[in-house]
Amino acid sequence: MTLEIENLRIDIRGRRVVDGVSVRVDDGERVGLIGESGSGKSLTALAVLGLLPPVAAVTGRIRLDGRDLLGLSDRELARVRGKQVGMVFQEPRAALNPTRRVGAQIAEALRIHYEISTADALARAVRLVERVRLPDPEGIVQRYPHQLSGGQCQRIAIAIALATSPGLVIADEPTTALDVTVQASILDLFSDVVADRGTGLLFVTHDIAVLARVAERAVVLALGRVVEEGSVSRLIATPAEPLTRRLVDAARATSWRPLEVRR
Amino acid sequence: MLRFLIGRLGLLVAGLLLASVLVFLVLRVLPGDVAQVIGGTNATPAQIAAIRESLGLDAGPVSQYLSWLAGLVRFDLGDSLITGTPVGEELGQKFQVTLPLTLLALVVGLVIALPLGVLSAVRAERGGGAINVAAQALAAVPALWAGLLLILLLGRGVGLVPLLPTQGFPRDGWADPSAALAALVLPALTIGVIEGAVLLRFVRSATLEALAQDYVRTAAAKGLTRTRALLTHGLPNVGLSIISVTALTVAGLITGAVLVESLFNLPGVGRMLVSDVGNRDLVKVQSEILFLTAIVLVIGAVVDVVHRVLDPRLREAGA
Amino acid sequence: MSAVGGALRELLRRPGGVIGVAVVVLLVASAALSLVWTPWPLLHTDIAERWQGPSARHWLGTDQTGRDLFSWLLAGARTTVLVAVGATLVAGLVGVSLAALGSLTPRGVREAVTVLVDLAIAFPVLLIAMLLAATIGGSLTVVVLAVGIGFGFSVARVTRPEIRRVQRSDYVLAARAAGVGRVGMVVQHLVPNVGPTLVVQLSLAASVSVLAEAGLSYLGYGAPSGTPSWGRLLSATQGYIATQPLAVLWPGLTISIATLGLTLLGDALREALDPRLRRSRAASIPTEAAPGAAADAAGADSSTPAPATPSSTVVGEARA
Repeated sequence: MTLEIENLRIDIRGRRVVDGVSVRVDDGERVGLIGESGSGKSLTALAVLGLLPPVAAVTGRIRLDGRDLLGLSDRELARVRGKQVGMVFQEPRAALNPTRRVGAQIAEALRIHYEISTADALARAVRLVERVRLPDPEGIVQRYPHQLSGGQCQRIAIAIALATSPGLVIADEPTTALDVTVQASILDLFSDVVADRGTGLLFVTHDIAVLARVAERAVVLALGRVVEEGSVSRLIATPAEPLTRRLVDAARATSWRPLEVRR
Repeated sequence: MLRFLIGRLGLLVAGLLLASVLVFLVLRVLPGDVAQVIGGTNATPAQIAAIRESLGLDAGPVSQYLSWLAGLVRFDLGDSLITGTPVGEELGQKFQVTLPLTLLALVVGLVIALPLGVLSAVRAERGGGAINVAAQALAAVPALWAGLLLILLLGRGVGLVPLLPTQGFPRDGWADPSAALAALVLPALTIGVIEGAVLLRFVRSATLEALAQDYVRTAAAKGLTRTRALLTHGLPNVGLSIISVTALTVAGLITGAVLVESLFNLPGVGRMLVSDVGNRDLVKVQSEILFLTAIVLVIGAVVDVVHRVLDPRLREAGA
Repeated sequence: MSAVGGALRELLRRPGGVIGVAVVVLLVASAALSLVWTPWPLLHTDIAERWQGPSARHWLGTDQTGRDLFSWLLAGARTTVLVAVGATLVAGLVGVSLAALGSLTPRGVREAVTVLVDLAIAFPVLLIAMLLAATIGGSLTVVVLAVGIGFGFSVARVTRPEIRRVQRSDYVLAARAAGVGRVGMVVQHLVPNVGPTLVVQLSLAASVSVLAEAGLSYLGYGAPSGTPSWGRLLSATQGYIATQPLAVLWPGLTISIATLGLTLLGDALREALDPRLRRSRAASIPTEAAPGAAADAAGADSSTPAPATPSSTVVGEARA
């Protein structure tokens, strides 16, 4: 599944917050979208699935396997969401409905797109929980989000995103809200499940150290524009832009060493 | 859960006791010589003495309070000082007007508040603000005036109702249900419109909050349309917030009933209270006020329990 | 004080604030004017001129005894202002005392007071007024006391957590460590932090008092007969709704405008005095994506709705 974002512009109440961003994610490719806060990286990611707030006006072109998503109605876009493209958000706890069991929330993702019984959907939810490496999957699906840790909630969110085996997963800072120790295991999970099935990945982050673990290529954004792009290892080794250098320095400051990049 | 139920029940009983003590203190102890208050300045000493006796005023205030309380527990609210009729019976009769009136008003209020409140939040950028402003203006309108305007509008303008409601309610009560119901339509509309405006603003802000929830976005990301995502994931939680303001709504409905029953000449608990206050029939007043307070407190307790049952976060949070 | 000036500037930057301030000024000016001048003397009656419609002679017409409605409406503002000021003072006194009892006392007392306030808050103002009226007879004092006590519970409910927050904050800890005394603490930290909340609540108390006065005077338990009061005018004109429907409009309109103005003032004050809300409005454009951010900005005016009914004692943070 190929995602092409071309010359994307987003205006919110007359202010241009994303200005001509182009990003391409080839079939099975893992691409990072990196920038500081306010760079428009999250807005770009949300625009793909039509999840921007109603006040945002979007122009440009977003194509999924050649099909223009921007021209679709919300009803048509809803069939793309979850089915072909899965999404994981930043705040795992807030992203899950507090009043529903997590198993039902995973099952819902299946039942929206397939005609299957509740029991079948729940059984598949259990297997998905297994796949995101949570212990006692049968027990977990009966829990409510507040009974799980942040890391566990994020695994559930990943299970939801993977439920229909989408061709592409978009992750919006999925590890930012987690403890450092939990971050690493979630990132490993990401790269493994994505590599398993050849799923494409668009990974939004402000942390180049995180990106080094999950993505091959990255696009650097600043103030709504693309400032640099290239392979993650090249960006780290020879950042051309001051901003990219700043991101690398910021990552180094937290005792990370580029040597740890998994290849 | 059981611990919570017992605790909440305890709180309810404490609230009822507190209300009864306050009502008793204000009505029977604060004025000094209650018999003089009831009898008025022109009463003869003999009349005063008679009042004293009928009220059992010669006993101390504590035993007076306890005997009232003992009566309450047996649903014996005492007899009217003026007509001598049992208060409980009359209260039950009047409640047959007030209860349907307030329920009908609540329905009107919800029918206005829920869809428009949600709409004004979802369409915040396109006209939703106007609904909110209108609701705020409407919430500032005195219920009495709203009633008069409705009478003018429907009576003078459309000719649907008589301009002056002289006979507010059928004399034979609910013997003819359609006539009784017809008498309640305009008063219920009056209370309902105003309370609906107040509720609308709660619904709006709860919906705005729901719209901002990440899990509504997650639901859309799973493949629901954005409207469905809000309806199936956002609104149930809006419902929870609305439930928690129900106690307020009940207080509003009761106040509305007191005023609007007087305006429309309806023989309900509110008008009964207004006239008994005028007559200084303290035995009736104390029971009426306690009765209305008890409704607010009991509904508040029920709402807390319902809220706890529906919200898994609260359900197991212990005490 | 520049802080007050700054808050006033913030207030007048919002439409609700401008309307609110205008209504208050108009209300007070009408009341003051009516003390020295009304188009017609209040006691002037003229049966020959009764039930007149609006005219150059009687701007809003006359009532059943030929009294000038506009003059009475103007003078009615006196009662409204009087009750609003009184009710606000009592509500402030009751509210602050209860809030202090609920926060500055030993734990047992503190919790008992908090539970009491939570229970009492459900008690409608109108019932408190009826309770008092049954005992001491209907009067404006009853209205002032009922609104003051009833709304005082709301004030306490909203103010107490603010006091607690200040008490537990790091800056108070730091100040205490630096040796700031009890009085210094109250002046430096408590007043500036709790004051804004209080001011907002009190303007809402004033708006409740307008409706309460109207309702109670209508029922005959507020302003005594002969006192100019909008509630009384409403009940007086009501009887003649068939002959003179226009007369019913005026008192209801003034009550609604006064109530709405004070509610808007409360809402605008809430925004103007809360530095957090102020900033969020200045930077109302969400840069980082969050569907809620835009909705928040759009709904900043109603993040906590403050509906006022003639009834409910609770206004403001009812969802808390």
